[in-house]
Amino acid sequence: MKIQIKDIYKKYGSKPVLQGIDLEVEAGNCVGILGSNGCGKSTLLSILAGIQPADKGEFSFDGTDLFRYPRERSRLVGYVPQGTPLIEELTAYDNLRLWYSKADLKTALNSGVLQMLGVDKFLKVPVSKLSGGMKKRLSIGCAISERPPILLLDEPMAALDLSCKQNISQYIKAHKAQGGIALISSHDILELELCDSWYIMKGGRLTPFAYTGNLDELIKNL
Amino acid sequence: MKKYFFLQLKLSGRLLPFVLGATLALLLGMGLILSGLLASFRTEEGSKELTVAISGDTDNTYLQWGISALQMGEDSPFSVFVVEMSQDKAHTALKKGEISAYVIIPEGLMEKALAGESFEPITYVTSAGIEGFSGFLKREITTWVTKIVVYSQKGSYGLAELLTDHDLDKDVNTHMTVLALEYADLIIHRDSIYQTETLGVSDGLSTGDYYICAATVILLSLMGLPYAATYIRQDYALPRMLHSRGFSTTRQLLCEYGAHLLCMLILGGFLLTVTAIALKILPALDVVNIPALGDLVLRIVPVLFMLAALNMLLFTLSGNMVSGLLLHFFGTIGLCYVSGCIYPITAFPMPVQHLAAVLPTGIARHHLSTAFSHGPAWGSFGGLILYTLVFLGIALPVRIRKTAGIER
Repeated sequence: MKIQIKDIYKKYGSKPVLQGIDLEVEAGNCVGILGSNGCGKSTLLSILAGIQPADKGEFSFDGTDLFRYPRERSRLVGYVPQGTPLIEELTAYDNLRLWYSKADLKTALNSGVLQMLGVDKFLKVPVSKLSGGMKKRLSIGCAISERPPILLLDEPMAALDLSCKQNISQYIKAHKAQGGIALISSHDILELELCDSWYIMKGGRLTPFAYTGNLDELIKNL
Repeated sequence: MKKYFFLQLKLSGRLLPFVLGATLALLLGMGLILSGLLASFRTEEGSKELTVAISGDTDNTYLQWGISALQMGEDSPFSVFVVEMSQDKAHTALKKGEISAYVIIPEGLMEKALAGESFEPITYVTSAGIEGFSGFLKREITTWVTKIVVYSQKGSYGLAELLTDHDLDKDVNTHMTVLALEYADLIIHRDSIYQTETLGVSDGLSTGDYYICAATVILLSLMGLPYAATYIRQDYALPRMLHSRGFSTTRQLLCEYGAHLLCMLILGGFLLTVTAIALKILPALDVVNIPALGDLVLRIVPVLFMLAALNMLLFTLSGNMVSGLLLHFFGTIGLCYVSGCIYPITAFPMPVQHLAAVLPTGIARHHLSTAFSHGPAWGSFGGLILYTLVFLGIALPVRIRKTAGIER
């Protein structure tokens, strides 16, 4: 089980953003995509999530072309965008009900992933009153309602406190352990440490990078 | 789709009590302004100077004397300034508000009246805004003709006495009886000497009816303003995530539009109920001809369809709450102003009147006015539906671009 990304191109007007992205990720792996602000990391993830079309390229899972079969893609891919994909005025429970059936939500809260993310502790609280970390955990909880094997996480730990980061890390590790695939766009050291391989996006292309924990070296390459 | 729609409904529903309160406050304020305006208008009628044009056959010497006498001064509670002009010029002047009314004297009126023959009725044309003046003019004309008849009768009796005194009274009684009967006939039927044509402020409506339609459009337009808090997005993360799960931007927009429309319909129903009560308890509003409830509902629903779509477009275009509120408030008030919802449209220059006829709020005002005038409503109904589709049609690509993050 693996995903293959081949030769993805994207332009905004005359400005090229992605210029031939190639990537292959095996099951049980997490890939970190690094790069400076505006280099195209979020654009790549949004293309893979089907938010916008690529000008050219392929994205497949076990031989199934996910660009051609959007229904398959939305079943197989869980996407957590930057920001808060929640309705602030409603409670955490109301937000979860948008993505889960009543029965599935009950199961997920009692013994499943939502419990692992700690979402069950603030179900009745309006989202506007939740901390950034709680919102992010809830967002991930919403994104994985269909238990997708592929997770696309756009800076999932940005501006979170350590305990929240740990909570999300635990979930990603469990996802990997179950044979899932995760693509993380990141600036965060903790996120980097979760990954099995790293790529730097520069000039619209992905270059493999061997992260050794040396931040100076990483910054020099960005 | 159903889940997202109901969540949106829940979200909008939470705002409903607040919007109902705000709408009620706005309605009360506008109702008081409107009733004050109409009441002051009626009071002013008793003292203001009015200009009346006389057109038609005014060549008769006696009529010229009469016109001169009116121009010199008269003893009615009105100060009427009489001018002579052609019928076409008078019609244009009335539309521009330069005169209050004009009178058309039929061909040979004086000659026929003096000879005791039946004559074509005098027509006076006025705008609906001065209905009180119509009554005044009716009284004036009736008095005037009565006096002609009575003095003529006195003259004929005097003549009969003169003839009797000089022994020339052969058949004079028979002639006097015939003459008296003709005069009696003229006096009895003196109301038929005039007929009324009313041009109206616009769309053939009275001032009260016109302002009710205009105020309704303003109220319905402003009613959407509080929903800026619900629908203006700075963060498109939720639409992105929904889209990634196969819930397209079109469906998202339609769900949000549907929920917003439903709330607007509830608010519209509330507005109708409160207005119906206000019309019964505010005596100053008794000048308004209340149409059948069914007619009103049929007119308001398509207006709400259009306004809900306009709200969605304005909220989609807005990048943040402050710009959204300003855009919505000034956008709708500006549209209402140019569409004649604040001042009667006939007070605007012709190019603005033509523009108002195609603006969404202008069409909305006209559509509501058909409930009062019983005029054809299909044209404005089509216009409202077309605008609904256009607004949603523009909102959709903007929303798609924002969801994709292309607006950066």
